Amino acid sequence: MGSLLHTVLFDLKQRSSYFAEELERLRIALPPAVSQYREDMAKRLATVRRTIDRLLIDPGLKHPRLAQNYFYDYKRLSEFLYVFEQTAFVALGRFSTNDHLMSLIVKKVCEEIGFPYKSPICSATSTDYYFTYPSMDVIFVPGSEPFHLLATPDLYHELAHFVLQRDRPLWADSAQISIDEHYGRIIREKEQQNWPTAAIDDLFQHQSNWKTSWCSEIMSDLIATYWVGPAFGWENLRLCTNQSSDIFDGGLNHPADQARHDAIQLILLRMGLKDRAVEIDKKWHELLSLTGQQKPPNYDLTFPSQLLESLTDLVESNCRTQHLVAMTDFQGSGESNIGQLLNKAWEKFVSEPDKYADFEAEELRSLRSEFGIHSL
Amino acid sequence: MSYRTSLGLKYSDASQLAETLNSEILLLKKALLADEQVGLASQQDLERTQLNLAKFLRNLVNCLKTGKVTSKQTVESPIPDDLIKRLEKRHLGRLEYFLEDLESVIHILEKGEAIGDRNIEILDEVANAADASASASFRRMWRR
Repeated sequence: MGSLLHTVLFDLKQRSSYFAEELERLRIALPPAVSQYREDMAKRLATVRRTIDRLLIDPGLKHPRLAQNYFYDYKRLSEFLYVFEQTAFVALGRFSTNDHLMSLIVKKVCEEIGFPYKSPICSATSTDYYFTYPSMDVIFVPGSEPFHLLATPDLYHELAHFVLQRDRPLWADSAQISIDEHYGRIIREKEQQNWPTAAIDDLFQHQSNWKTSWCSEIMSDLIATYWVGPAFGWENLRLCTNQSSDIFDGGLNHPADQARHDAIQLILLRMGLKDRAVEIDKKWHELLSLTGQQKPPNYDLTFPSQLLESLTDLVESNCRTQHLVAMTDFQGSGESNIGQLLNKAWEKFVSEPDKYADFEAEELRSLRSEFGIHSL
Repeated sequence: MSYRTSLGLKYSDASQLAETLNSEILLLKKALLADEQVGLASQQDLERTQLNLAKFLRNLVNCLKTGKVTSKQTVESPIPDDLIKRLEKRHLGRLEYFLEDLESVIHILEKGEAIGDRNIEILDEVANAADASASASFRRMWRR
């Protein structure tokens, strides 16, 4: 009988072979829009299979002093296959005309915004709102998204995560310096003022939260707004109206909704879109009034406006350096694009919500026709 | 927008770090065993690995010394909060000894000196914590 590790590697081998066979079977069924993606995923699976084959004959696998390290390798392979199954395999295996439409929308958006990478595919099979898995090049959206436009600006936020993850030195390095500088200064000040240790520890915790999670969310919001303008601010308002529990409270993974709104406001103003920013802010205050929530006393230490300003400076400058295309670059050009359509949709919805459904249906019909997708 | 994106990004970072660390430590262990059957690394690979590991451990020591993930880390290899907390928990009350051990491993790696069994134990402990951190991150993502 072989070792546990040797035995379970055969399970991974079988599973990866199954996935590879399925991808081969899908070669004919899938539309050209995702054929390159299918090929990329097939190549990654082939690499995994080669690694498994190599491990199976590696004498180190049985060596008592090395087995644990091979076990860690095994776990990463096993996790990869699970992630593959939950993301790329679901997206390709159940690829529908709805996914086709969404993937073509994402592709067009990527062309419009100067997205510096291959455009990811999109699957309308999410049970957890919009989310992405950049290393698998796929964005998931809820099943009804191919039939609506108001939440589509969230695609830009997901695309921004790709940009942040793939060029860490450009984005994260400078952002982390801003965070360290800000909190370093505040913590020194508060220590000189003899603040209690617990309060200083809270500041360290905020700094840590900014560095590990909040910063990438805020920067994704800023980049998304840079790309699609007020439509993202409106969609953020809609999402917070629908899902917010505490507008001023940030969790471990996401910053407070108020901070996100403030960041969006900042970049809209920088983009010269003051009128739109004011309109959105007015509605935001309506939401605050409806919730009855008020800014807690420590809010400004948790989500400092100076830090939001620094991050906005950084995003604005990096977007230019990276040649990412701002929504305002399209204004007056007469060229039709998805970003413009989403802003038009939001303007229509805000001004005539009762007539919006017909507008949306007509625009989606046009989009489907433009992309040659008729059987929805 | 969803927590899934955020958790997925954290997992990507944690698993990438665990994988890199493990392959580097495995290479050093094979060099120590000097057993042709399990494979030998080239001198060039060995030297590069020693420097990479030393750089990572230096970051790790800084984080462990402050007790918080607040010190400046190289952004190309961020150290997950979870990894720091795991090592702190394992060495509760005797962290300074662990830091001394890490410093001595760093010294050996930076000088390119021969690594010993005790050093490997320390490195294995770091690899183990990195693996546990990646696995925990994976579970948070899919098995909530």
